[in-house]
Amino acid sequence: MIETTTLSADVQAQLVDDETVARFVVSGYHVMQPELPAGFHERVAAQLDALERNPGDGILDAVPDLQQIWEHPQVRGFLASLLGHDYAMHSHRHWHCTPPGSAGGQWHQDGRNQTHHQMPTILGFYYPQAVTPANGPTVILPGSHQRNCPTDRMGGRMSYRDQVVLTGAAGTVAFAHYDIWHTASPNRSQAARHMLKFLFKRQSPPAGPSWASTPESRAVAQSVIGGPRVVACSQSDYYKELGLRRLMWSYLQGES
Amino acid sequence: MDRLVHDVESWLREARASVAAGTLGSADLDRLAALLRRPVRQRLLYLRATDPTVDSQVIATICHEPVAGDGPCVATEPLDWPYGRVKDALLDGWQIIHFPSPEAPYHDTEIDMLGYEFVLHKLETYDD
Repeated sequence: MIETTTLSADVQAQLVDDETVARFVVSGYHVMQPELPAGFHERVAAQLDALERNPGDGILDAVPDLQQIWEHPQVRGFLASLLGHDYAMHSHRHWHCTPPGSAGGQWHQDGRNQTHHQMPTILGFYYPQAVTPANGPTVILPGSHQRNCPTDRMGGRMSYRDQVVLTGAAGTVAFAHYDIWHTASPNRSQAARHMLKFLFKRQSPPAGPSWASTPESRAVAQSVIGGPRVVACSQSDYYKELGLRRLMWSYLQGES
Repeated sequence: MDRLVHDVESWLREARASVAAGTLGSADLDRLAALLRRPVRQRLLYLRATDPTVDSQVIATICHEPVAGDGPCVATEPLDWPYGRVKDALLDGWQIIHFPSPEAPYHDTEIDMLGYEFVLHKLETYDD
């Protein structure tokens, strides 16, 4: 584990509101575009292109610029909001390079299902190049982090009606609950697609909201938690999902 | 067997014209025999629906064609969704060969896999 420091003022200013936290509880993902100097993402992509082998957990040493992504106040503000101000970057990380012609993968979750009504770990995906439907975007299934389902029952290469294809401009950063179902998709372009996956861990159980909570935003958050399905499912599944959302929301507020 | 029916009907149209013209010959019959000798293979369609009934909404799909190299992938472009309900696939000639089990494990507060899986098939003729 790499310890993070106490929140600076610029990170404190980037803590998200209740509604954003609630939407993450419900959907299990969040996408942002942290602002970085012109040419930054192109430089990272070029450094990745130049690597002769995948260094595994050593990717941060091989491409130190990546640290700037995870140190960005907007990124840190989001992670501190969801994982607590003392969250830590895990020592495991991976550079996913999808070559042209790759067939993509199958629906899976990383590792085994964690305690899915809590939030011990968040996945961070960084894309230094523009991601289009053609060059192998990550595909996720909203709300699937609430499902205690082994990978071999997720449907293989099925297409889900409510799946989300994570496309975006160069520099897109996506966060997902560790248990979310996700898959790589085919790369039909002529260039490799880079994705850097990092893990961020909660260090201590929540004692209260670690985000910028306000009464007004809390009211909106309550309606989000009790809101409609984010993925089509049976009525009984939906009712149980509502209960799991409330459990997670309560947990994050230090109530359970 | 849609393709076989189509090809035989096409052959019949031509054969009738040949009969009228008095030109139907053994070569025409050989061509029909070849059509009927083509290998029959199984197309597989997996549909996941919100409920274990055929009139429930389809929420996930994948079709496996019995041809070498066929490898369906997760769609990244808006999918031309083939069937809104499982019954729509039946109306299009697919036959169910596996129904979702109504005795699946059940937990009162947990949720697990998404949807109820129907496996359907169509037999089709293929050129080797």
